[in-house]
Amino acid sequence: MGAGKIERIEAEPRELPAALSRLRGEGYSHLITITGLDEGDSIGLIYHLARPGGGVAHLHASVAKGGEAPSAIGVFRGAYIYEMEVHDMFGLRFSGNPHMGRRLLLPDCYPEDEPPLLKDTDPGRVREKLFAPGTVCLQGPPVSGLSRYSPESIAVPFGPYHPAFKEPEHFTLIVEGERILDAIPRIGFVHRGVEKAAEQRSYLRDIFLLERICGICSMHHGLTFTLAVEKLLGLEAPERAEYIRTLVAELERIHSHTLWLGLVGYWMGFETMFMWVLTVRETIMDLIELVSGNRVHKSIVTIGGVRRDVEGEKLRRVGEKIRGFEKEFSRLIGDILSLDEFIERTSGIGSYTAEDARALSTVGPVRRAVGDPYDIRKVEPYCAYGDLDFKVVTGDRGDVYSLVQVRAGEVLESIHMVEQIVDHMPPGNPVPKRPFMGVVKPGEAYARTEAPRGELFHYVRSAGKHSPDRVKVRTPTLANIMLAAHALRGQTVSDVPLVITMIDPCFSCMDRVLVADAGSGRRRILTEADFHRMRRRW
Amino acid sequence: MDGATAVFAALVFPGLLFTFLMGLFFEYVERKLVARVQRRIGPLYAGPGGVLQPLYDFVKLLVKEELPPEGVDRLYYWLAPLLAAAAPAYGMAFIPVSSFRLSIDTPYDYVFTLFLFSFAVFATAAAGYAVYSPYTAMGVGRLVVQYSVYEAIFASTLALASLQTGATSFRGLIEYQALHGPLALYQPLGLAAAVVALLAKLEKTPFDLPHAKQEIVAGWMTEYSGRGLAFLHIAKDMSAVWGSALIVAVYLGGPLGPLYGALGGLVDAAWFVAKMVAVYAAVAFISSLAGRVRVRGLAEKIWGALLPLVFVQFLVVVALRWLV
Repeated sequence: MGAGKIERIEAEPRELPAALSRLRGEGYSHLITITGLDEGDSIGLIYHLARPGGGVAHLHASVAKGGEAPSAIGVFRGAYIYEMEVHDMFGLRFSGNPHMGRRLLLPDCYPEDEPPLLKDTDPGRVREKLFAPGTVCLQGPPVSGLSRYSPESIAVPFGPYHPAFKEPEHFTLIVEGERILDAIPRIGFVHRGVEKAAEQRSYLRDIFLLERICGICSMHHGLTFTLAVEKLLGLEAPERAEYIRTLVAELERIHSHTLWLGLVGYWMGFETMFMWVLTVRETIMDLIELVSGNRVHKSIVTIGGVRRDVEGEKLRRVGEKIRGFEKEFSRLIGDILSLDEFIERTSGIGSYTAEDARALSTVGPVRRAVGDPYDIRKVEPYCAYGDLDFKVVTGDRGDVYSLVQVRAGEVLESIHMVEQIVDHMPPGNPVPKRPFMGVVKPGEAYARTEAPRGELFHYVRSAGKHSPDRVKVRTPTLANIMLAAHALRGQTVSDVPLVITMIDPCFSCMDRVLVADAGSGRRRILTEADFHRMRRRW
Repeated sequence: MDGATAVFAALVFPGLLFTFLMGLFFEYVERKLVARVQRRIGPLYAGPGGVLQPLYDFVKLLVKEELPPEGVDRLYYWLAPLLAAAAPAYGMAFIPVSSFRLSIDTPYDYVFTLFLFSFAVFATAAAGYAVYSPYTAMGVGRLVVQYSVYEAIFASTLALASLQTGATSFRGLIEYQALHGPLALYQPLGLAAAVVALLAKLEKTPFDLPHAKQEIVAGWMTEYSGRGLAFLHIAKDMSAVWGSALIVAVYLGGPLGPLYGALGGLVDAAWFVAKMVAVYAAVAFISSLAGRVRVRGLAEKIWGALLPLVFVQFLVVVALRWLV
């Protein structure tokens, strides 16, 4: 199953690297993420490790507040980004991690002494400090010491607001003419404090909150959280509900992948392709609306089932329309993939090796494009995936072209899955009698699903209250972003949009945890009355 | 030709006013055509069928706030958009759009056109360098690279036309074509090369590198807003008119056609405009079906594909001269 209760393996902080490499030797070669916990006097660290063939281990260690933990980058190269995240959120330092000096998610002006996810951190106090006179909150590019590059090089800012990005993100490109010498990412421009906010809402409301982490794979966030909570409750959703969840999840994958395929055209300056693909995609958006009632935030999953049934007539129309879509989509993709121009612009661009992909703990299509069939739907089937017949699409080399092939192949697989679901929908009532409003008994659980962008991981810990004690989200983009920066080196500026976006980034997904909106550099707090005044003026 | 006629030619027909109006119409044609290719509708509400939309956009930009960035070279910042718009308007004044000779008529106007071409690029480069930001710097760099690549092709195709007809003026070209038929019959390869070079000159996809928005925002015009941007936009449209007019005059017989000279030259002007629109529609169509080339492959793509064409055409032209 893609979810389960957590059985911790305990370790002393100083033994962490040794314990990690021992687990790695046992086959747990994929570091999912590091979860931080506020345990009162100490900070708990849970290292979630996965075997490529299935199975998750959870290594736990407690570090005294203000102490230091040894860094795991010697064992897992990609661990540093998760250590930076824990450092931002809990103020814990990792000795041996060279990036401890800078922020990953929080703005640079965020007060050092108020790590946001500690239980005694008061948002009011943070706000006071942030908006105190003299605090400058402009987030500059983290560039220093340009002299180590050649004297001809210039730093080209790429973002946060750039026509190639749909969401704010910053890359500092060090270029020499057209060639890129180095690329330095800076994320965290759209923090909304979702993890903190989730601790203050009931489980039911958390589903809606977590869905808003991402506008594209919203359903997977709600689903993953729900799976973890259901594990805590020892609850199983009716079979029909599992099928409906799978249906919406696969429709979401189709719409997410086709959106990306269209945007590939946009990023390479082939805007007609963008328009064509998006026209075809509209069918899927209609289906999502038909099934869930919404186009963006599907809001169909609830604890113990789904929020509405999909009746026979609707199912029939889904089956009909998806077949039409399949025909149109295969024709369009066939045409596009055979264009010489398209092959030239994508083949060999942004290439990376299977070793890079594994060492940087990448997930999803990015990992599968190098031939590694790592797909949670197969590795640890959840919902109805165990009953469905599908194959994991893999590529043979890591570059943009191969990623296009993999994602296009996945769309076709998803279409077949939707057809199977329509044909074999089990009977029953998938909607729970009343929404879950109760208390969850103490415990901790995780769930992971295969979101369109890759493995999505949720950790939920309950302290026996109406609201969770800790929710931790690891989105696929955070796992993949370092690969994008890695692949950028040596490319030309012409290929930057394609290379950055080949991981299908969802920047807003990465940026979740912030108490106050300070990225804008605005020092005045706008009250509701201010907004009313401004609204009247305009 | 007296002074008053020359001034009229430069300012009204076929110079500034005509080019301006045609430029707006060309933009409309392009937007509508590209929209149809992309399964959209395109401009619809302003004027009949949306034909006034480009004018609305122009006027809207004119009245918008301008935000010149700090440290801008004021002289070039203001002058460059004007020069960029002036070059095609002045260039059009030499084109024989109609049989009643309103255009400026000199023995070497055809050769002079080459100079004006370079001048237009100088104006856009100046616009980019008036502000020094990473995007404008990269945009101008790409512009100059692209210019040096396509100009060789464009200049040699124009030279081939001169070689065959022995003319150094548009009057000579038209007279030759009136006798022997349009030059496109003899120089189809030259025509193809010239159209591709025109795509590059007009910075249309696949050669829109100097302002590739996904890469360098708006390239050399990133820092322009309001009036300056309006002029740069209209300069682009007017260049499109000028470029298509050149192709029509050189290869497609200019104003020649059935009923040539009837209705005091109105029919030939209509012929010329129709041919221009056809040429530009072809350009826009090709452009809408292409993705952007990479900077690294640019010279290889243009020279590798087009220089052989031009060379074969050269051999054909020499053979024709020798035979005829």
